[in-house]
Parts: sequence; C-alpha cells; structure tokens
Amino acid sequence: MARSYKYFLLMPAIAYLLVMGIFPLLFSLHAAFHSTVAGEYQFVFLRNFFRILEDARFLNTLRVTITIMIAVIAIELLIGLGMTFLLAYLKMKGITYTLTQVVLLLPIMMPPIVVGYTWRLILDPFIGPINEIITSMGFSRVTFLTIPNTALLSVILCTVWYWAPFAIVSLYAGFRNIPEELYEAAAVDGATGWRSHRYLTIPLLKQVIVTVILLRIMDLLKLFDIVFVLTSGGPGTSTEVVTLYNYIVGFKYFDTGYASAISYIVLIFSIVISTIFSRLAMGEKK
Amino acid sequence: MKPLRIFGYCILILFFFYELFPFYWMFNTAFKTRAELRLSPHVTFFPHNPTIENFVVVLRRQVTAFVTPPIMNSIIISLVSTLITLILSVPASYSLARFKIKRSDNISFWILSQRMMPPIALAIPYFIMIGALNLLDTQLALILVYTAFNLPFAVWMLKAYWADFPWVLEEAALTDGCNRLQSFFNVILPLSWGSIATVTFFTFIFSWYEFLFALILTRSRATTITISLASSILETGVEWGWISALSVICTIPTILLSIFLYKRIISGLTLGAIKG
Repeated sequence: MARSYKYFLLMPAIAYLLVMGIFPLLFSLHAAFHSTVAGEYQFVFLRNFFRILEDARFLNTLRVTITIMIAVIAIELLIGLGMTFLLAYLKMKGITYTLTQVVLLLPIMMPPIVVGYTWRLILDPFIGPINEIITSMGFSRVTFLTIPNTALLSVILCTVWYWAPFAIVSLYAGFRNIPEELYEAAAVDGATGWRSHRYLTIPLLKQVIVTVILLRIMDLLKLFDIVFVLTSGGPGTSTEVVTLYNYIVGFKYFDTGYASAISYIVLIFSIVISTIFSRLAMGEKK
Repeated sequence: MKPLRIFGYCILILFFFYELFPFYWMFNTAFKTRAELRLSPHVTFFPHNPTIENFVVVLRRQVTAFVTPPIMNSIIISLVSTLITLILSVPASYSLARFKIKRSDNISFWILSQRMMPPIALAIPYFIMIGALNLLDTQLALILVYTAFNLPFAVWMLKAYWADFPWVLEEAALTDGCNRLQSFFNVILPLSWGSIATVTFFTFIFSWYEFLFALILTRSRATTITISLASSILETGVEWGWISALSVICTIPTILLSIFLYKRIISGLTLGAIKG
C-alpha cells in the first residue's frame, strides 16, 4: 500500500514546482531567442546572446558584481573567523551567550528593503549621523552615495553589516561540532590558543568555509533590494549589479528577449555554483 | 579578569555597536518630529520631543493613499502563502524522509536547486504568465509566486529534520492499530511542532520581506508593505520620519519572533552550512 501512497504525497509539491519553476524557465528560453523590438516578435536565434558580449554596460555590471562579491565575502570570512576565535576564547555562558546569539540574529531579521533605507539615512550628507560627526570634527561633508568609489564602498559595508552575522553563526556552529578531545590532545602536544586554531580549527572548518563562500556567491548574485534603495545603481552605473541591470532592461526598456538572455547567463552561472555546492554537500554524506 | 579577556570583550562590544547602530538610528528617527528632522541645525542623537506622530501619519496613509492598506496585503499574502507551503511541503518531505523512493537523492537535489534559482530569471516569465492570466496587481499573484519560492526551502528543511526522526515510534503506533494518517497526526506531528514552527517562521518572513516581485507584479491594489516604504518619498523631499516609522512596523514582528525562536532559527540558518 505504501507504494502508491508515497508518490501520492510527493506529487502535489513536485507538480507545483514544475508549473511554477520549470515551465517559466522554458518560457523565458523561448523569449531569449526572440526579439520584441519594434513591436514584433521575431526569431533571432542567438543574436540576443551575441549582444551581451558587446554590451559595455553589461560587462560593467559584471565587474561591479564580482568586485562586491570578492570584497563582501573576504570581509565576512575575516569577521566570521575572527569572531569565532573570539567567542571560543571568551567561552561565554548563560545570559551573555544568549544575548550574543540574539544580537547576531537581529540584523538578519531586518527586511533588506529596510536595511537599504536605514543605511541611506545613516549615510545622508545632511541628516545622517556620520556626516554630523565628520563636520563636527571640522572636515567637510562627504556625499557618500554620489561619489562612485564611496558609493560602492557603502554598498559593500551595508551588505557586510547585513550578512556578517550569518558567517559568524555558521562558522561558530561548525566550531562547536568539533569534538573537544581534539583540542585536549593538541594541548598535550603543545598546541594551544592561536596555534590550535591554525592547525586544528581552520583545517576542520574547511568544509563549512567553502559552503559559506558558495552560499554567499549565490546570494550576492541575487543582490537587488539593497542596491535598488541605496544607490539605484548610481552614480552613473558605478554600483549597477547584474540583477539591477536585468531588471532595468526587462521592466524599464521592456526589451523582453534581451533581458531573458541576460537572465539565462545569470541562471547558468548560478546552476554551476549550486552544482558544486550540492556535490560537496552530498559527498560529505557518503 | 585577564587584560586579554577585557580586550576581547571590547572588540565584541565594538562589533555589536556596528550591528546594532542601524536599529538605534531607525528608532531614533521614527520618534522625532518633522521639525526636528528638517529644521534642526544639527543632527540630534536622541529625539528631543519624542512623538508617535510619524506612526499615526503612516498608519493613516496606509488607508488613505492605497486602495487596500499594504500592511493588510502583506499579512494576507504572507499567511496564505505560508499555509499553502505547509500543506504541500509536509506530506512531500514526510514521503521523502520516510519511504525509499527511486532517485530520491535526485528529487531532493532538484527541489533544492529550485531554491537556489536567481529570482530575476523568473521575473520576466512570471510577469508575462501572470499578465496572461489577468492576475496582475492581485494578492493571488504574489501568493502563487511566494509559494513557489518557499516550497523548495520548506521541503528541504523538513526533510532534514525528519531524517533523524525515531520512526520506531510510528511503527509502534501502526502495530497498535493506528492507520498512517492517525499515526501521523497523533505521533509524528506532536513531536515535530518545533521544526514546523521554524519552517513556518522562515516562509512567513520570506513573504513579508519580499521586494522584487512585489515591485513587478503590483501597482496599487495588492501593494505590499515593502513597496509602501517608497511612497514616503514625496516631491517635496524624503519623509525620513515616515520611512523610519514604517521600517519599525515592518521589522518589529520579525524581531519579536526571533527573540522567542532564536535557538531554532540559528539551527535553521546553519542547516545549509553544517548539514549540507
């Protein structure tokens, strides 16, 4: 009896995902091979994809996205590992430990759109606290979000603020999974403090570190809300990430075919990363 | 206390200051008067005449400036989407975790890969599909879309929880004469409330947060709370007091829930990194 039963339970979910997940992708693949310019739906085969290669604005969004990815992930890992070592050293218990966990959770629980607006307010040249401190020290105002470099830096700092707690929570959970006997054995061999981290914690956390990097690459590929609110890609296109450009092409220029082609490039990249991710995750189980 | 330990706590406090500052500033701005925000020559680090005026204005605007109050839309859409997600995901993940299913690893991976999909890849086809169904700017459109994003995550999480479930208990209930449905509701469900609560929390929060699809698929009738924030940007300038008050309203439910559920949420968040 369990034979038909188990598929009967599974089917509704699978059916839903086929209709809402696979079908739309086939639809946009179809759109990617067509051009809608001048109101006509024409088959253009790969022309949309060739256009991507010559599109300087698209290549710029790639540069911006990759810069943000590298900077954000590097800073997050540094903070994550540093805080893991710190928490391991402090060995907090009871209320202080609970408090730490709650504080680490709060930023993750803020809606991304609110994160964007709140940071825009903090960085505001006239009513933001940072510029108040800068001017009270006698320096001139910095309009963070209208200078290309500081705008990019602001996006990076805001994203790090949002997701560094995730890196800490994940790495620290990984650390707590390491049996304590290993550290006792290492201490007998003379490895304590920093040395025990260098030779035990970091190698043993390798799996978690790689997973965090892959998850963050996939998340940052989707980065949209924060940039949309904070800078809208500006000044110029200096903070325009791939997703934002894709949105502009699709919903501001209404160039459906080209936007679908771009989204397919993003999709393929994300499939590659998620395949690596799942290989690692499945490999660990066997 | 050793000096090194004190130094360690100083670093920790410094980091907490960075992480908590935006919360402080959000509350600080939300309780300031319009005059203090606009006319004061210096930025004030606490509200001099604390007022709830911003909250009153913002809540009134929710009713007057939109066809349906965005806050109501958000609550309805999040609740219904969470409910559908649970109805679909609980049986599916039970089946995946409990029974031997051909290519079960492949099915799980396929479901998981749906979660990794960049939303922008689905934005254009959804816009066209939902337009063709004449569902643009309706609550149903967002419910359908959010369920599609929540479902893979819910299945994956529940399956991970049920992977270590003591199934002997179910066997015992079955030998005692329960049928599968009875044993599910009387034995398995009562023992899984914690996991289901976590999944419910995450799916609710996702719908509550969502911005991109709400931006694309709604105009005026089904606007959600995240979209309504932008309506505080007027031609006469940005009403930061309103934005902050709305931000507080938008963030409070998630903060409250996370304080009660923090242990479960942390284990849910790290599930991907630790268990795979």
